Amino acid sequence: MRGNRLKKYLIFTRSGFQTVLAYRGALLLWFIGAMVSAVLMGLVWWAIYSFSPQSVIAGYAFPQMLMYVILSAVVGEVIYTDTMGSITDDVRWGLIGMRLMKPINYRVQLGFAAVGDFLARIIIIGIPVLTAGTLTVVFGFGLKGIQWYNILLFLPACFLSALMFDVFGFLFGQLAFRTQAMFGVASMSQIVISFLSGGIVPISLFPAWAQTVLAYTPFPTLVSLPVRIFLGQVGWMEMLIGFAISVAWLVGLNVLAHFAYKSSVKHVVVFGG
Amino acid sequence: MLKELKLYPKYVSMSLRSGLSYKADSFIMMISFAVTEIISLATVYLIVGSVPQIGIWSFNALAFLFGFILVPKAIDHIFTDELWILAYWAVRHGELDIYLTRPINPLYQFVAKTFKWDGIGEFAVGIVIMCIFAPISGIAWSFGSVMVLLLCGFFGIFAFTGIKLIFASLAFWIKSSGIILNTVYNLSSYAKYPLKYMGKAFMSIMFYVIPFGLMLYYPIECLITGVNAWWSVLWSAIAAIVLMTIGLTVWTIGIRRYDSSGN
Amino acid sequence: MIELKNVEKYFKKPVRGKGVWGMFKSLFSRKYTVVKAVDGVSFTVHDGESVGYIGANGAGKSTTIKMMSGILTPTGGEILIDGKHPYKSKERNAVLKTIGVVFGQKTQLWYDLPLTETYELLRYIYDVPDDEYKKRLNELIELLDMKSFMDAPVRTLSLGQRMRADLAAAMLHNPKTLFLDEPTIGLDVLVKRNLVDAIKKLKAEYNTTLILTTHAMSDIELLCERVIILDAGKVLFDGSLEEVKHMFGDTRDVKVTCKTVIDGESVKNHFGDAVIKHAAEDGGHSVTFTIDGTKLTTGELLNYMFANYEVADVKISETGIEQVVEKIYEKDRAQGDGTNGEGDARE
Repeated sequence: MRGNRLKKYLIFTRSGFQTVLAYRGALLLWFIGAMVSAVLMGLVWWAIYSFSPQSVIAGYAFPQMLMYVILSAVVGEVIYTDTMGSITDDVRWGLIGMRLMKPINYRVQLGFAAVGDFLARIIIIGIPVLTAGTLTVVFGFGLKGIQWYNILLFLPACFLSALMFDVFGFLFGQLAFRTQAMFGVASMSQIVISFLSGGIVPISLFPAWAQTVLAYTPFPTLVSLPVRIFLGQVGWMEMLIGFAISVAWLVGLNVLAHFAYKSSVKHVVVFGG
Repeated sequence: MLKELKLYPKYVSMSLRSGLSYKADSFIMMISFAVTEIISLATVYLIVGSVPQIGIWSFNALAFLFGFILVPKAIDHIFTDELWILAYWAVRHGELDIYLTRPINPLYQFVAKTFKWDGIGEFAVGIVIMCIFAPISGIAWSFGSVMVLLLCGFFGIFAFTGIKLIFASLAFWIKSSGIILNTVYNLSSYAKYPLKYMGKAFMSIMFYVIPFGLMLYYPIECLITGVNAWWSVLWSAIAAIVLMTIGLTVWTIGIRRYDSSGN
Repeated sequence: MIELKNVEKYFKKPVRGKGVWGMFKSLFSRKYTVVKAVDGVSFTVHDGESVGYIGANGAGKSTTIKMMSGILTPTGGEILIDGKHPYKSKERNAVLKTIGVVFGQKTQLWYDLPLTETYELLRYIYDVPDDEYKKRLNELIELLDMKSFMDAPVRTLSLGQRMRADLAAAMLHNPKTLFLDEPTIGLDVLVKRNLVDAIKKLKAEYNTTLILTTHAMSDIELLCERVIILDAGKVLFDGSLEEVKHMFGDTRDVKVTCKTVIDGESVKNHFGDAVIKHAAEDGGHSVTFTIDGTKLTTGELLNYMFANYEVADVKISETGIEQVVEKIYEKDRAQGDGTNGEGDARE
């Protein structure tokens, strides 16, 4: 019985995977765009380091900073599961009513699709780009201290981040019930989340007070944690605590999103969406 | 041309009244653009703040540059946002048909249709940042430097419009050029960093290929160093004319290939 | 007068490779197949004519209309509307002022505004003088029965209302020629009928030249005197509606129901080969005769039936152009079998 239900939802994982495959051309172009940005960010840092009195800024020497920029770009693209887009489309094209009537939990369905989305992104583009980027920085810029077990641990950390991004998408995506301006909501939430989670610059550059505040939010687990794990900046204990915090936030946010969703759906019923 | 100018207020008013049913949405978009730019400035602050000075550039000067770039960007955004639709959607879905059957320039009709007042958010952020940082940017203010700023700001609009038109028109060949346009357009956000120190290769690209550097960054660098400022105006003007000429040519050649598919 | 001289429109479709690498390669490769959407079409339409332009999906009819209305540039040949080319940048504005276009699947109305807003804009675009605009708009509102929805935003209109509004938009500047591309698509029967009547009224009132493409053959039968049939980008037939019927067999079915049993065979014997076949139902109480319209009128058959039987009910159904076209295709297929291999690649 349970196995059957799981099977039912795994169909959505597969379709999420296949959706990404179908749009692999566009995805590839997005990735190229993200990599161009990473290279240019690297140039900005190159200018900064050449005028810096110290060789280490906020805990990062130049090769590490370069790797940080590449890694955060890869993480940003890989965990970018399209949960928000799915809700937006379902609401806009009036499919949401139909979805709600099916004997399938809409939230769980979206989550399983996000997993497929993530797997496709990391397999067809994430891993190749990551390999190329790492080799470039290690052999071209002399980055040291990358361990194979850290690279392996980076993957489950990304998976947790993808789930986190999915729940953010589910939370903010519910705004589609209330506004047409989902392009604005999507782009704003993406940039805010990216900034606060260390997707643009390392959190260790932030003022001390901001770092303290951020430590009490789910954001650092999203980009900063996997990237720092990859770079070998996270000890075993900290890693375990980091994963535990991630999972705790995931549970908490999903509960919150669940209740928010209940009220959103009432909104649909009231306004005949 | 005269007819187009006379018609423009009519288009603006129609576009504004069309948007009235979505006032709250436009407001969200406006906030979203403003927030995006503020985060972008915070990023510059965090990066640049880690060193006292990058050659001739202090953070204050870079912040002023940041504000300056936002203004032409916002103005272009307000007037020609529809070019994004051209790149992503309109060619692929054959949505230019109706403009081609009317006795008035089709590009004009397509672009004039949408007046994005929510770009005011970016515009305001740009002006405020400029006002805050103008006195501490290290620029020697005079009538001349204000004129340089105004003129380069004006030509700077066409840096965005021209690039958008060129790369959006590529859609006539490849159906959807949105992602490519997006990548090229995003180069503009690197004009707010000290290009001078970011390597010869990238600087050349930003000066001679995709001239965001020449048109947006260089004028402020000249104002800070106090040399060549009027030359930068001249270069901006030339670049604006060249970009728009290329853009209109690509559009004109492209529209002949338009195949009205998608229905 | 509209002249098409050996007009061609070819589309190049890039050959797409498979897989990520294939799609990457196709960005740079120059391999493509040429699809001949319109392949040497010539005809002339005189002022005031109404022409139905028909053919299967992908026969090239929309492509031709789009070339005539300035949307597409022909690959070869020449299109002249009153001596000017609609696709040449110097001449297009002069041509476009004299034509109106309605697409069944696209609207030119502003989605969120009342109709009058779009009409006002069009009035400026086409330089319609103020008094003329007012007079004409009132006429059109009357003619197309649009009073009830003039002030509602376009997004709230039904498809039928929207089509009428689009018709009015295309007629505001008093065009000499009106192009209609699938105007009745997606409409239900009654609304369709209303729209066709409206077009008929417009045509009668303003003597506009009418060129229309449609899937619904009833539209053509009601609106057009002349039919151009297109297949695989070539003109298959160009002539009057009557001619179509005669050339390709004007057959009609007459179903007669009587209280007594009808002897179908004797009826057939009486008229000879003018009765093509007869099929009995209801144990012979009703018989459907398929007659050849060129040899026998329905009236003659019925007179005979009334004279010999106690007729209770009569049903007449004319063979539609739909079947006629189907026949043409069958004929064509039998002759051509596969010589035009491009045919199915077309959109």
